Amino acid sequence: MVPIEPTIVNKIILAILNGVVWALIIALVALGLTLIFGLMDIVNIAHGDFYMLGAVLAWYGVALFNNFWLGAVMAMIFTAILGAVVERSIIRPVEGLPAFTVVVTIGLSYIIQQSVLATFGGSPQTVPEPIRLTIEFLGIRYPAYRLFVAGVSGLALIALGVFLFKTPYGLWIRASMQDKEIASAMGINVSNVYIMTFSLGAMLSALGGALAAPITQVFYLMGLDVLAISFIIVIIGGLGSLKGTLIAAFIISLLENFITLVATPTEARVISLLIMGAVLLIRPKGLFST
Amino acid sequence: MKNRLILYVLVLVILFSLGFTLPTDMRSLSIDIFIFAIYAMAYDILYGYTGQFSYGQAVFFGVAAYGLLLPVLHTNTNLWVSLTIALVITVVFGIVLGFLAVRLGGAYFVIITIIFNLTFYLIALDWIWLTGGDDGLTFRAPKIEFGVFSLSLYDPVVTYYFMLSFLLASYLILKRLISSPIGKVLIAIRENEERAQLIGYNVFRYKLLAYVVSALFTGLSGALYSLRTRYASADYFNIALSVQPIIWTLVGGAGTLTGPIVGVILINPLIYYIGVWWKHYLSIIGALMIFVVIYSPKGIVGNLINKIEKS
Amino acid sequence: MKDSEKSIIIETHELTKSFGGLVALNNVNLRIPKGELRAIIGPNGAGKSTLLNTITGRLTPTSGEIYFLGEKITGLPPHEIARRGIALSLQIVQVFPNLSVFDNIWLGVKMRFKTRNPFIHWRQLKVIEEKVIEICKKIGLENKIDEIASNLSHGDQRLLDIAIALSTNPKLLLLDEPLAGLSVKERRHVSNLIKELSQEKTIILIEHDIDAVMRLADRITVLDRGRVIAEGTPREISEDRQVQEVYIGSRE
Repeated sequence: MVPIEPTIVNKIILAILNGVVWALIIALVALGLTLIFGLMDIVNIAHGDFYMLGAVLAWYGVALFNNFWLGAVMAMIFTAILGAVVERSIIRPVEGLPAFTVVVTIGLSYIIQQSVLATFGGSPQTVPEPIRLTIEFLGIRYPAYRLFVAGVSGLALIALGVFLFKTPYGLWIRASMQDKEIASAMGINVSNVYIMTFSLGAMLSALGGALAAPITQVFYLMGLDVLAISFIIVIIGGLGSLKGTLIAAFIISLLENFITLVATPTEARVISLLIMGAVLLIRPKGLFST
Repeated sequence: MKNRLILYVLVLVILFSLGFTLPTDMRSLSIDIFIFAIYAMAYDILYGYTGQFSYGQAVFFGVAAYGLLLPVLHTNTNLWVSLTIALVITVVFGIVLGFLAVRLGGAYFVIITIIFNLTFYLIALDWIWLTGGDDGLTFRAPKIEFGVFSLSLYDPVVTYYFMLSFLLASYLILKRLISSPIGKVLIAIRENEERAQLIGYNVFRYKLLAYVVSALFTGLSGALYSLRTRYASADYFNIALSVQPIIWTLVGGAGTLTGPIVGVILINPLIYYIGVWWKHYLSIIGALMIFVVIYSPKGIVGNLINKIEKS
Repeated sequence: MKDSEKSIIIETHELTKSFGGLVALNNVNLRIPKGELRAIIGPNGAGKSTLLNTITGRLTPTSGEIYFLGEKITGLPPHEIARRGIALSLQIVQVFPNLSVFDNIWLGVKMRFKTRNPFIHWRQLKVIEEKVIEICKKIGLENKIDEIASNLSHGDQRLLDIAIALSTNPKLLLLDEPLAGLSVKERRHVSNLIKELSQEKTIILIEHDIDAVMRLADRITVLDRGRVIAEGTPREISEDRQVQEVYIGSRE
C-alpha cells in the first residue's frame, strides 16, 4: 500500500466530509432549539446541556455496560422524560414571560451541569468509536463511524420531517406554531403539544450529543460551545424557521471546517460571528425569514 | 423627604466608618460588594429600566478589565489614563455590539448577547499572547495620584474608600439619569415600546443609549475589579459572570437601582460562604433562580417590602 | 385652486398595501383639508385599520405615496411621522400600563419640548407639568392623575389613550374605534370630546357606530375590500345606493 501523503485536495475533501457530519449533528440540536422557540417563545439556555447529557450518558453506556448503543438509547429516553418533566414543572409557571423562561433555563442549566460535575467529574473523557473501521476513498482514510453518524443524523432529520409534516402530531405542532388560539379553538390540546415539543427538542439534542461523543471530548461544559454555534445558526437561518436552520447549519459548519484549514477554530468562530453580524444588518430576521 | 435624607446620611456614615473598623476579610468582601454593586446598577439600567434582558454583560466586564490591565502592563500608564482607556474601549465595544443586538429586541437580543459572550470567552481563552488565556496576566497596580498626593492601592483601607467613592459617584450619576426625562423615556419603552414610538420617540436610539450606558458602568466595574485583583484572565469573560447581575436584579427587584445592590449584599456573601463548604454551590444558585421567578417575580426584597407595607 | 392645495393636510396617492396575495388597500386616494373631521367606514376587513397603520408608518405601503402638509412621508419610521404631527389612538388601548396617568401624558408632552440639559431632573420642567394637568382637565381625568394606568376602567384607559395622542399636540389625530367597548355614558362623554377636539384639530375617525359617525363627521369615506367606493357628506353617504348594499348588506 502506498503511504498517503495528504494533498490540498485531500484536505479539502476531509473538510467537506467533516463539515457535513458536523452540520447534520448540529442541525439536530439547532432544530430542537428553533422548534421550541417557534412554538413556545422560549430561548432554552439548557439546550446545550441536553446535548452534553446525551454525550455523558453515551459515555456511561460504554463505561457501565460496554455498550455505546445502549448508552445512546438511554440518553434519548432519559432526556425525553427530563424534557417533559422540566416543561411541566418549571417552564409552565413562567409561560409567556420570555425573560423569565431564560432565567429558569439558566437555573436548569446550572443544576444539570453541577449534577454531572458531581457524578461524572470535571475532567474531559473520551468515548471510543463503536465502529472501528476506516474507509479509504478519494485518496483519504475516513472513519466509518463518522459516515455512520452522518447516516443516522440524516435519518433522524428525515424522521423529524415525516413526523412534522405527515403525522397529525406534527400538524398540531405546526398549527400551534402558527397561531395558538386558533389551534386550541380547533380542539388541539396546546398544553400537550408543548410538552411533546419540549421533550422532542431535548431528545434531538441528546441524540446529537450521544452521536458526537466518540468524535469529540465529553466534558460537563461541552454544551456551551454547541449552544453558541446553534444560536448563531438559528439567528442566520431565521429564528423559528426550520428550513433556514437546516440550511444555515450546513453553511456555517462547512465554512468553519474550511476556515480551519488555514486558521484556528477560534478564528473560524469569529468569522461565523462576523457573518452573523452581516446577516443581522442586511436581513435582520435571518436569511430565510418570510 | 426628610426621612429619606436622614437615611442617606446614616448610610453614608455607616459606610464611611466601616472602612477602618471592619476586620480584614469583611473589608475585603465589602470592597467586592462595592465593585459589583456598580455592575448590578448597570444591569438594572438595561433590564430593570429599559426591559432589555441581556445575558452577556461579562463581555464589557472583561473588555474593560483588560482595557485597564494591558496599558499598565505594557506601557506603564498611570491610573487615570489607564482607566480612561478602559472605559473608552468599553464604550466603543458597547456601541458596535449594541448596534447589532438592540435593533431586534426580544428573544433576538437575548440570543445575540449570549453569542457575543460565548465567542468573546472563546477568544480570550485562545489568544493567550494577548490575554494570558486561562492563567491570565498579573500586573502592579499603579498609584492613585492627585497632583502631588499619591496613595497606594496595596493598602486595603485605601482600596475600600477608593472603590466606595466610585460606587457613590456611579449611584449619583445613574440616579440622576433615571430621574431625567431620558430615564422616563427608558421606562416608557420598557412599558410599551410601540406606544413610545407612536408618540415620537426614537426607540432604537434610547435602547442603544441604555445599552451603552450599561456597558460603560459594567466596564467601570470590570476595570476596578482587575485593579483590585491586579489580575485578569479569560475567566473575566465567563458567562457565569453574566448570570450574576441577573440574580442580583431578580433577588433585589428590577427597576429600583438600589434593589440590585441589596441583591449583591445578600447573594455575594452567601456564595462566598456556601462556596467554602460545598463546591457545587452553583446548583443552589440555579435552584434559587428558578424559585425566585416562579414564586417571587418582583424580587425577594421587593416582595418583602410589599408585605411589610401591607401589614 | 392654490388656496385649496394649501389647506390639504393629508393626502394619499394611489396607496396600495398587500399582504402576500391579500390586497388590504387598493389604490386609495384621499385628500383631507385642514380642520375637517373625516370618518372612514366600511365592513370588517375593508382596510380601515391598515390605512391608519400605513399613514402612521407602522406599515410600509406596497406602492403609492402619502403626503402630509405637502411633504412626502411615505416610508418614514413611525417616530419621525409622529414628530411631524400625526398622532394615533389605537383600536386596542395602548397606554404605559405601570405608569401613572400623569407620567403617561407627561411623556407625550415632553415630545414638544427640547431640553438643553439632558440630565435635568424631570420635576424641574414645570411647563410640562402644567400642560399635563391642562390635558387631564380637558379630557376629564383630573381626579385620576396619580392613578396607575392599568388600574383604570376600560373607559378611562380609552380616555387616557386619547390623551396620550393629544399630548404631543398633533396637527392630525387618528382615532381607531374610540367608542368600542364603552358604556352608554362613556360613549356620550367620548363622542362629545371628539366633537370638541374637532373644533381645533383635523381628525380621521374610524368607527362602527354609524349614528355617532353621522353626527360627528364632516365628510365620510367608505372603504370596501381596500377600495374607496364612496365619499361625501353624511347625508350623501346615507343616500348612496352602493354604500347601502355593501355596508348594510354585510352587517347582517
